[in-house]
Amino acid sequence: MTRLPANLLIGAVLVSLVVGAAGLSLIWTPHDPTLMNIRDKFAAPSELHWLGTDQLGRDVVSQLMAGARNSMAVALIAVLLGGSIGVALGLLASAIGGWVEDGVMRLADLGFAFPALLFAIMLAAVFGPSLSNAVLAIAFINIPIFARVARASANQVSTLDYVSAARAAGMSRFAISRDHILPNIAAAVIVQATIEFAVAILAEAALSYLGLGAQPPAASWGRMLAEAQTLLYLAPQLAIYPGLCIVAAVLGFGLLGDGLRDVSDPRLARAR
Amino acid sequence: MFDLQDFTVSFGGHAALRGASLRIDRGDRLGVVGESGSGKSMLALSLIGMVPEAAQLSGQLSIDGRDMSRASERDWQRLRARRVAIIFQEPMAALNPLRRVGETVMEPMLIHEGLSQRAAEAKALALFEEVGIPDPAARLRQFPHQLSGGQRQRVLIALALACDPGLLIADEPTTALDANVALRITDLLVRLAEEREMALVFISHDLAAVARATRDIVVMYGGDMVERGPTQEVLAGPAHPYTRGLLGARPDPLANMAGRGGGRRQRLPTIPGTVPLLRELPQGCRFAGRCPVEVPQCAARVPLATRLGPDRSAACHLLQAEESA
Amino acid sequence: MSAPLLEARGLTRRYALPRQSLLRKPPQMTAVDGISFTIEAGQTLGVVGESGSGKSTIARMVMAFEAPDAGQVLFRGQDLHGLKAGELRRQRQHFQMVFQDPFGSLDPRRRVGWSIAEPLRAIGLEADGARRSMEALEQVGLHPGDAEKYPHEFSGGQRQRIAIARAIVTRPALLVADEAVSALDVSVQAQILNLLMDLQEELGLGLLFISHDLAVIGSICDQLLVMQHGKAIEQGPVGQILRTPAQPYTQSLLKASGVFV
Repeated sequence: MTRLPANLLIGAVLVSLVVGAAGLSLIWTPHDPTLMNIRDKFAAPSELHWLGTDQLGRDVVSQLMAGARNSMAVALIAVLLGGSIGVALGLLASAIGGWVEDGVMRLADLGFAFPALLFAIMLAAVFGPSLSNAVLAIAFINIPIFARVARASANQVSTLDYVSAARAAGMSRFAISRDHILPNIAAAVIVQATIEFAVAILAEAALSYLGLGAQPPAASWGRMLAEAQTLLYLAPQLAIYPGLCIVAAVLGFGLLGDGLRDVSDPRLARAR
Repeated sequence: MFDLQDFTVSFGGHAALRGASLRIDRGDRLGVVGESGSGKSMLALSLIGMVPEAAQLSGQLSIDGRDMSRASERDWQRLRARRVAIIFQEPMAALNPLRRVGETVMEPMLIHEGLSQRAAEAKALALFEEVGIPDPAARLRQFPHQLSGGQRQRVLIALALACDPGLLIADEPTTALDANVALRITDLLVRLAEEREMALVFISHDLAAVARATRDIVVMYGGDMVERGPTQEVLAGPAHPYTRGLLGARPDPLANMAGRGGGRRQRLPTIPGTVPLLRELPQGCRFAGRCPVEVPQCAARVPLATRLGPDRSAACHLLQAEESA
Repeated sequence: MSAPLLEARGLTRRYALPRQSLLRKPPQMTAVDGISFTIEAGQTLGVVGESGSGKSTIARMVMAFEAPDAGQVLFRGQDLHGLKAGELRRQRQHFQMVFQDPFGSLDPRRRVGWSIAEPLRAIGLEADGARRSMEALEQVGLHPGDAEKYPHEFSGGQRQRIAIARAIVTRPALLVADEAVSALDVSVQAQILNLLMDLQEELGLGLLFISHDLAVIGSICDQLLVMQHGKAIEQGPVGQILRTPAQPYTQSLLKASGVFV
């Protein structure tokens, strides 16, 4: 393995830790994250509770792991959902061109202007706050981002001769998008997805912090932060732990995305 | 001035440039002819110290008596632009699209020669005139996309001349240009070389341009220098089988048209097969496997250059055998 | 007397340039101005010109990638640009194109056999795809086993052969070669030109050969069209024009290309 860029390695390590913890939490956590034990509140780190307990006696480590699981799930679903719709729109815009392309891009601009927060609040007002509404809100925000990336990449790939050759062969625009354009923009889209993953994690934390996402007793780093806010003088560690997790996850995915981008482009150029 | 001795550039044990020996003096005009994989670009890069980092080098290179065979990047930076400059094939790719061309040309003067802004501007203007850019004062302030292909190439030539180098390497300078423009750029390079007593290494697969621009020629194949000598002599009477094949493969409309008139159109004489991959080149003569007159020993033993005249030589076992016979 | 294989009548194409002012219409640039020519089966027409002459635009209009602003492209008597989209796609099997860049004309992510069979898939003949791909590979001088390889495993000249294989797999009647040999080494150029001439003979192809290189054109074409700034400067049998060019522009092109040097 030749020298991989540092950001890729560090990102991969951080991501593995977070995803690993999330995965593990599906089958095992040190304690039940929702189990309250008021008598044991604010416990210091010990063999029993590796990072101690919170204000309701719940094990911190277990909550962090369960929180990781929720963050991953939200980010994954939101990015997949928003990404798929966005890429499809971008490909459509590129393939048809003309006023359809302009229209889709202007809609995307509207979407950009619309803050995720506002959308989440709207959903919460109508349907009540929940993790799934947070997912929908974040997915909505991702649509214009992926539409833009997909359209730009698709436009670039469309100028290449092998696309013209497919057109000369008599393939329909749909077949060309599916067989030639999509596989060749995959790299750019995947890189964007890893970056949006990081953003989604942060967004979920923010929404949960505001009470618009994960509802108690569901674990979430954002929710933990919110609860720790009033206890900052009493037990600052309860804010620091989830905060560090958010930083680690966001940094990890961000670096991974950057690293992937570094690796994919010059390799392609050198392989020629 | 520039002395290359038995210079080899290898990648993973396979030589992209093998045992190259070359002497370039003031005022020389040398053509380097070859196709893909011939090593001609590697030769150009060796002369300016821009060989890829992954390459293993062996042999000697001395510039003005100074040994640059394994020189560091810092040493090379002191020599580049001032002793040796290079222009590449794609004029658009070599110019920063966000900078006015005048600024690009002035940069080496400001950095390497420590000229003042005023002096650099004056020199840039003079250079633009020298390379034949019309309305030079206005052009200095323009961006690359506002210039035509030919003009951009002239800007690059001006850039290369900015610090008055003793050697100018032109790597396929006319390939991306139209025939008319290419002709003028070729003539420009010759004129500049003569007026400045500058050495010119003209690398191209365009035999007509090389014939026009150079006094001597080196033909390369698979990393070896297979034939060299005065340009007119080599082109008129090639000795090496590859050179003969290359010259024969040029489309010649006259010959073709003569065979027309109801009959089958003439096919062009070709060299069978393709240039093998770097790692698949034969250990001996690189042309073995495609040569119309090869003998069994060709693939195994490296042919030495056989002298065919005062400045003329070709590396072929058959010629060697003839000479010793 | 049946219709010629390909007939271009008064082809004209204009492009709008960037606006100079907000209120006035953008200025127009005429890329192709009233070009007409005919190609019969088994014949080769060369179109020569410098960059900006409009020759590539001619190719795009003949291939129906762009519609002319005036004039017609008649393929076997049918106006290509008058056809409906579906009918046009079906007709494409009869006229194919070879592009200039051997490195860009094949999808790097697809095996070579897949790319060659693409025109067959478009007309619903994919069942035959594998067999005919391998046949086409043999016809262009490569091994049928190469169908499993990826484009990056081949040299420039070989990729151009693969592109030609793709272009002949539907047994078209017309081939458009847009600077098809310009990016190749001289010795490889000769091989590809010979291949094109052989295929033309075997398949009775009409060939529209676009190039900036007069020497290449002279060796492969029967008829010649010289273009400059979108206009036809000279048109006629290639031997006649190259030996006795009537127009000064043609003469300057000949001089610059080193032909007869």
